[in-house]
Amino acid sequence: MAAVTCQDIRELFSARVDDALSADEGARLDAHLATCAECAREWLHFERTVGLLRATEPARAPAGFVDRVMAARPRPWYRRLARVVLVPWPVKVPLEAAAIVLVAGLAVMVFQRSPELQQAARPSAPPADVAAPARDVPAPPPGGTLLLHDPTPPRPASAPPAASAPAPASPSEPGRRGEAALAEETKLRPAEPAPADARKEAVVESFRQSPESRAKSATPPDAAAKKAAEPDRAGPAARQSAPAPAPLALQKSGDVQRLTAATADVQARLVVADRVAAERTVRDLVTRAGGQLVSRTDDGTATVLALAVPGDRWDDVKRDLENLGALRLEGRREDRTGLVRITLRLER
Amino acid sequence: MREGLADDAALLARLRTGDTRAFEELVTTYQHRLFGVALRMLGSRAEAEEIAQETFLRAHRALGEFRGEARLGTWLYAIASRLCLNRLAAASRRHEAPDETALHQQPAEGADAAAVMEQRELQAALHDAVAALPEERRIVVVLRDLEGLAYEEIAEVLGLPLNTVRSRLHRARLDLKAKLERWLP
Repeated sequence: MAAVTCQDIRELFSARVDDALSADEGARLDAHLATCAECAREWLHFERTVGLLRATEPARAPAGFVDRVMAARPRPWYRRLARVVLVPWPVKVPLEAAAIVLVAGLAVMVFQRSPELQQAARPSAPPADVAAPARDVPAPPPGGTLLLHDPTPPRPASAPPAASAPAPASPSEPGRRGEAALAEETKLRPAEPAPADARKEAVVESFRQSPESRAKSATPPDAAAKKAAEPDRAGPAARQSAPAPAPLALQKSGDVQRLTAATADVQARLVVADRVAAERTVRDLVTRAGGQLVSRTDDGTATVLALAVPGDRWDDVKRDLENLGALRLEGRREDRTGLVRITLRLER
Repeated sequence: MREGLADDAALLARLRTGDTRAFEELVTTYQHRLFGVALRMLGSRAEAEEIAQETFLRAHRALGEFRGEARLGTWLYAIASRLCLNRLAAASRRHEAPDETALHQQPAEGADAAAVMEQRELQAALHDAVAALPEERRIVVVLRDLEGLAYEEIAEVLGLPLNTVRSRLHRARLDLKAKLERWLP
């Protein structure tokens, strides 16, 4: 073993002052100090210096410091918002406009979530075009629906009317109405209710069903969810040849957003430092909770995830989300059974 | 540090709900320590108050991103230390005269006039010696010997390897010892 130098010994001074020496090092230091007067003097000075530092009176913040910090603290967002919206009074006109938009949105949402209303609206719809939904909206554009339609190239509007059956009086009647682009699908699935409304309802139903009941039911709703989760990967050809009709309905991101916003129990906004990492974590925790990602859109500034989570796991998922960043929730789900549908907006 | 993890967790939970009283409690609890770090680093009470206030405001803004992996105090020390070092590194830093009271020692009770005078001179020498340390050594010695943080906490606060913390601390103490030699017995 090499001889211990004074320099080696002095390197141990700090650790000795902080009681961080091992027993061996301590013994070595003591043995050296007992025989080396120079190092012993250095050690005394070192110890005294640290002692002087530690005897320094703690600094105290000036009087009124806490009040000044509290006053400088930014106001909560809702107070800032209230200030912007309500003061000065002339600004209340936009508030009225916002109220009208809100009421209209609520009306649409209530309509979409009420099967009775939709059923009532169906007979009054034009019967022929299966791509257009049977709604009481005046003159709907061909192929343009309130929620969903297949964004494949326009199908011939002059599909032979003879091939199309009248609008089904009951859901049990097979949809064999003759739109050219859907003909192949109906050939593949003659018993499938092919109309766009039926497809939309299948997807909506997939939100409403519990994972267990979905697993028991036929595959299209699940397939719809998986397909919708990757809307950008499927090209038009892939969409046209997709075996299940439901996925076709969710391939347009706007449609997905409208659907998920309309059907979500909870609207959530999560501000995170890293959107990509947060999305990965969200996917993992939702999967672990037995839920699934239904759709995903990204507009460059935010990532919107439509999620479905078993009701009894929602509290766990919510807690995990709170750990990821600043979470703001709108809408509540008290029911602990069935699925909780969440629209989660990830922002930086 | 002096707060327990359980206290931290409870306070953090309240802070996350936007509880104003919780934030006031946080400021009250840590105001003197953060002010102390800034004062010893910058030497000016005005700048120290500015830095301490900015530390709390930044913490308030970033509470949503604080994941609770570190202790609240460690997190606040980290913000304050970074702000101090940035301020010192900034070319535009105002050159304010250091306060003579930046470091205070309690005079021993019953000390006579000569001893009080000597004590004051020693305080001034200590203040000058700390102020003369290179910034990266000064922050370590301030956090360790004046604020009482453990090596591991300092490493976390400054984002440094543990050995670097040990080494800088030892060098800082040696520097101080060399400058205070004439005051030592």
